[in-house]
Amino acid sequence: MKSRETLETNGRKTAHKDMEKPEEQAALKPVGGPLSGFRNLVGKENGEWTAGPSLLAHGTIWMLIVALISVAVAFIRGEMEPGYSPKDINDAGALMFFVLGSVASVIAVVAKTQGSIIGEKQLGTAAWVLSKPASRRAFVLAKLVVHFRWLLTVTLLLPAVVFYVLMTAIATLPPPPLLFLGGFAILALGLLFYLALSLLLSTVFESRGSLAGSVFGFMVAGFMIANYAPWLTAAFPWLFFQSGYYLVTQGQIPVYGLISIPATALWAVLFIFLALRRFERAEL
Amino acid sequence: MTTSRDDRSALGEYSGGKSTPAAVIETRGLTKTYGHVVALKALDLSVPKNSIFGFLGPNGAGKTTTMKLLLGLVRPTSGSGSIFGKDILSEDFQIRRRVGYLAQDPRYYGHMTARETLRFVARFFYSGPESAIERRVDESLSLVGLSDRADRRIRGFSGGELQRLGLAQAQINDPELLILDEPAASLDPMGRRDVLEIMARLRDEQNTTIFYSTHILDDVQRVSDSVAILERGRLLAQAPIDELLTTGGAGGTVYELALKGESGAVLEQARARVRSQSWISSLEESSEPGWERRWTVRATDESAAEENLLRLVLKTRGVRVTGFGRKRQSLEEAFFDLIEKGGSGEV
Repeated sequence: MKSRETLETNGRKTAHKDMEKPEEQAALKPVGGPLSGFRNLVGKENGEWTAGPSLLAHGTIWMLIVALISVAVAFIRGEMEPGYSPKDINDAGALMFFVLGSVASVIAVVAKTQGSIIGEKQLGTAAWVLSKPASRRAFVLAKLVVHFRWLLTVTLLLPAVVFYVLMTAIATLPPPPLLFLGGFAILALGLLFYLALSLLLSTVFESRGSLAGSVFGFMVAGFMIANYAPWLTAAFPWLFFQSGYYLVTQGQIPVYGLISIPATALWAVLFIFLALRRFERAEL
Repeated sequence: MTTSRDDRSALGEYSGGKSTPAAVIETRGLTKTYGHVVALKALDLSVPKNSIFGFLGPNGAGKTTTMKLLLGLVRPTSGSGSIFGKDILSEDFQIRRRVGYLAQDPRYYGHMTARETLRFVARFFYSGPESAIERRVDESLSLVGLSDRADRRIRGFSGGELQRLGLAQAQINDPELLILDEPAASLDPMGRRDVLEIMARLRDEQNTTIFYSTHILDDVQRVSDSVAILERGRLLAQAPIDELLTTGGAGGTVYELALKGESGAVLEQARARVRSQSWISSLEESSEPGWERRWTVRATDESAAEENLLRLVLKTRGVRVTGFGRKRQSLEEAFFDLIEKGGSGEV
């Protein structure tokens, strides 16, 4: 640290008077509002995604699993079945894409967000940030917005683009673009649902294991429930992969799928609301 | 709530409960429990404006809980508190704009550099030209001597460097109140000295009030204006440091007398005479060779003691006084005295 002389020379009072231009000082405005600190926190969350190997690691893994495996399966099916039409090849690829895409988004959400709020609470960084004039709502919403942005990009968007291009190349017929876009939007909604669920649970649990187990458990339970209480699948995104697949291959979504889309959107909004409410009262 | 206040009156507490005219922090019966564990018990605290206020206590005394309550990071179970006259529950956001906080064992985002961390903190307080924010960041780095490490990722910072960064981020908004939880922990003696100097300068030059906790009693004695001592969530004492050192922490004023007697009987007679006075709360005697004795006398009424104590002793024939004076304890003595009495339930 500085010696007394240096400290006195560089002291805040002196520094403010002598070093800071008056017009600059006057130009600094206090930040406020109900979402105070949101932009700053978004910048921090973006930095966490882009500064480390996270983006590259997630991008590579999900590109391989969601896009390349789907295309490879479609290609092999096409080679093995000489009678397959370009549409059949596209359908085979679409089934894999929507199944792997929906599972990948849940795994990616858990992997990336399980420590997001819980980790910050345990480390003390949440207490540090919230000892500043940052709103708790901004803290949670910044995580939601930034994680959604990057998870959507690496688990679904980039793989979808690569999948679409490669499928067009191997099947010689592009999948119907608008329907494919619609199927993609359904998967994106599913990702938002699981992200909102994960953030809500991170305001409830104190351990990452409980959060990860609950989110995975919810997904696995959905597949099992679909056999015994199929009507329940209309309330949650468990069969979103089927909705996406039918939309792309048949141009329509089954009734349970049509109901599950607005229902899932409502759940996501409710989870976000509850996460904000719980975190507002959380002790740090 | 009442229990704690009663305890403190039994202790002869000085200013707790009284409202200092220009108090920056005030709490009334502030209590925090976690299940059956009482972390803080009916705390009445008053931190004067423009002072350095040392908050002392053993581990688990409730110091960090108090600081978190003041910042709205945890919610009180009962009681109330205010900073700058604003309620800590409903107006915590306005409070945090005017406060700087350094946590115990501070943690920051490892992917950021020191400069990015300060920029990140500054943007919670200010919007405006980047150049003005950068200037503020540079000043803060310079203040704590981290300019040469400004662009290093803080993941590799030592404990001392993190502590300096903590101090820099805490004062980046020119706070009116700095709340520092163990600011000198993990610093070497030079670093500690510098932190204390910065604290004193912030008080003297910018009129900043500093409320800080520490285990290092020497530091408290060097730099603090007032202190409060907390143990197991209970406030044992709160006073200006000079008063605490004079009175020994347990209330009243302490005098030391060196005596010589012709016999044990006359000394016993003098002791009984002194003890019978209503304004004497305790008399401890240590034996010296022969008929020499050293007394430590605690008086509740300072003027009565100074007028009568010596006279009372000398009234006993055969007793001579070889030394008399007011005892000034070290903070360490006062601290242990209070903690031990508080812990044994003697207070």
